[in-house]
Amino acid sequence: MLRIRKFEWKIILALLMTAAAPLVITVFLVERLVEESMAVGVNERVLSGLEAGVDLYKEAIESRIKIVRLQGQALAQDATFQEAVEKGELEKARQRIESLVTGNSSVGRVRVLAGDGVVLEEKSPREFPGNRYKSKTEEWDLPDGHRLEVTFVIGKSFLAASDQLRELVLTLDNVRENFQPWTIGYYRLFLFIYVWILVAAVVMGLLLSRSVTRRVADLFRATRQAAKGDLNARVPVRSRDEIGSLSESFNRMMDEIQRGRDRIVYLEKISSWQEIARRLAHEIKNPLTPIQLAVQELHRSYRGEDPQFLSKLNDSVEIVVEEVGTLRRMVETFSEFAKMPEVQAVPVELNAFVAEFVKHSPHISSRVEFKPGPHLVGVRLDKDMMRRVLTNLVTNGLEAGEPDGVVRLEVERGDGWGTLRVIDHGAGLSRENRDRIFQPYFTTKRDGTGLGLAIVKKIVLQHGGEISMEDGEASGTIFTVRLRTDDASSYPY
Amino acid sequence: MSGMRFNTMLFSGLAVLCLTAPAFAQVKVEKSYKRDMGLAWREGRLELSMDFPEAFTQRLRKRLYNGFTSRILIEALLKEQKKKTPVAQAIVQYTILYDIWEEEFNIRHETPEGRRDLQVSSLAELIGTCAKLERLPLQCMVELPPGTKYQLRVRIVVNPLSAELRKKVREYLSNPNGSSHIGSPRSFFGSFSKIFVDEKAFQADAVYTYRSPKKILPAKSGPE
Repeated sequence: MLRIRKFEWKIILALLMTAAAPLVITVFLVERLVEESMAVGVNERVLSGLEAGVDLYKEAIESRIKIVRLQGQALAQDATFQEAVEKGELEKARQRIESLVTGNSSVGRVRVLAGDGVVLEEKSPREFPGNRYKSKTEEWDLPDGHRLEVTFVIGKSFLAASDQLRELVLTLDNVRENFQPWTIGYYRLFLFIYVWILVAAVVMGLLLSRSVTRRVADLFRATRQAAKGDLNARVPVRSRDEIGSLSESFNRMMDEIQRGRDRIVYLEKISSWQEIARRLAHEIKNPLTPIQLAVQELHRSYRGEDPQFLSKLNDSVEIVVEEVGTLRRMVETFSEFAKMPEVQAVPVELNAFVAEFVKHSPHISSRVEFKPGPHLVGVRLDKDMMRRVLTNLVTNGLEAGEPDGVVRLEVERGDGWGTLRVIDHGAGLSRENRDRIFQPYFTTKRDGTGLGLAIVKKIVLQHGGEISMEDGEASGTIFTVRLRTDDASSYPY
Repeated sequence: MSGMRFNTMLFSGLAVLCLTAPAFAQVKVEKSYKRDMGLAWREGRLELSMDFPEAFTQRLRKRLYNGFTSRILIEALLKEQKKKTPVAQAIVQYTILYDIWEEEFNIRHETPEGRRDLQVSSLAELIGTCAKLERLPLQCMVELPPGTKYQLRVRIVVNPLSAELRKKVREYLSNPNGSSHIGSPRSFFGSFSKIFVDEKAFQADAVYTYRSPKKILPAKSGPE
């Protein structure tokens, strides 16, 4: 079942309101328009005129009948005509009949009939075919049983025109008499169309709003997930409009939050390890000198002649001194780790910084490849600390590769970040080791302290940046350090 | 006022407007008369006799003479006192057409039993024929018990709108130009008029209603 979201309802209602707002005015206008347009064709003037036309037709027909009737009657009562018929002087009678026939177009035929029905005289101006003319006949008595028969004719088209006009009057009269049902009919049709327009507006609104609301709903869902603590919540970015930008911003915000949380967790962990390192350094460092001095004093104090014992003593003292030395170096590393200074960041152009690093590191410069990137990359960093980062990463890379292998450095800019890549061609790391590589005291080297990369990561994080490691294209590993960029145009090089 | 409430009101208003649109039609005033009508049993049939010359107004007479076809529908209902269902009824329709050329009125008299045509030559004869009922048999639907009071109601409808005329009006509105060419444009509304126009709301030229006083029927006579 189609589920309509609240936001969609609002969009639909907005569209409906937009579509329905003109309704009140339109309803009024339609009502006026219907009434006025109907009144143009159907009004008292038109009907009166048409009815007058009907009257005229009627009068015309009646007049024709009346005239023919009067003329027939006059002829029948004419003494001369009667005498001519009575005496059989048909020539005289014919002249009178002819004048009747030719003098009136509505006379179709005139006959004089004898008492026994024999036609004595007949005059017809022309043929009046029954399909085109309607006729009727009237008779008048003449002396001696004779009769005068006059046939009236009228064109059927004339009668048909009369009927048509009458029908038109009837129709218009009906429209006028039933004006309201017709007007209401128009009104209903308008409402019917309007309702469908509103339905179409709803459907269109639903379809149009769906693409927007779906993305808003995604965003809403993701924010709720985030509110519940799920920092992996992300929104698919489907377009480049405002909602797309909002989604991107949300995703960036979540990335930042996640990075921030990881940074905090990591720094807290490192802080704990630093405290441990500081205590260890303190506890181990103090007895080392007495141990070494004591052993050396023991060696000096021996006056015996036993060569076998002396040999053992020499070996033992050497071992103790060496191990104390190792422990001292370790303690120094621990101390160094425990007492890492605060970052004193200054504006630096990253290409220039890396180039300077390579130039001032003669022991490694011959095995480092660096070609500055095409863009200036302005960042803020603590030069000393970041040199240490580079030294550590480059040294690790060189140690991981062939004795004559090289490490490549790359700098680039993008998405508000300056990126520094340290690419070696060593054997690479297993996935298991890769996950633990930045953990303090984890090392794959035989004589490593496991603090180098932990220190590197802490420094990078203290700079507000991030560090990651991935496999190289062919072999080896790529360490990527990312620092927030600044406007580099005014930075010292 | 919130948007939701405003919309609810707007659509409610629209719905009411759609539903009540037919109610805007004015109801034509019918003329009513109280008249004593002749009601009698003859040969087992209940017969009605009355006249209604009022129906033949000057306007109707003029229209008749001008050749307009006119119809007069007569409905007679006999109702038992205080009951709505009629116990006897009759229906008659006169269709009158004056033939101007022939100068005579052609009258068609129709009842459920059949029809007959007749001609009269004058208006007086026409009124004498059509403006009165002479021994019109009422169709009894139940046995009418004697001693009960009844009331007779006769409704005369002058020119009720016929289906034929309705069709002509619809055709006129959908094709006002009267063009008979194939593909000639028809008016948009006229094409939908059958759907949207409530033709039941159409009115006749005039309606006259006659009511008799309530009274007890005369005694039944003649063969059962």
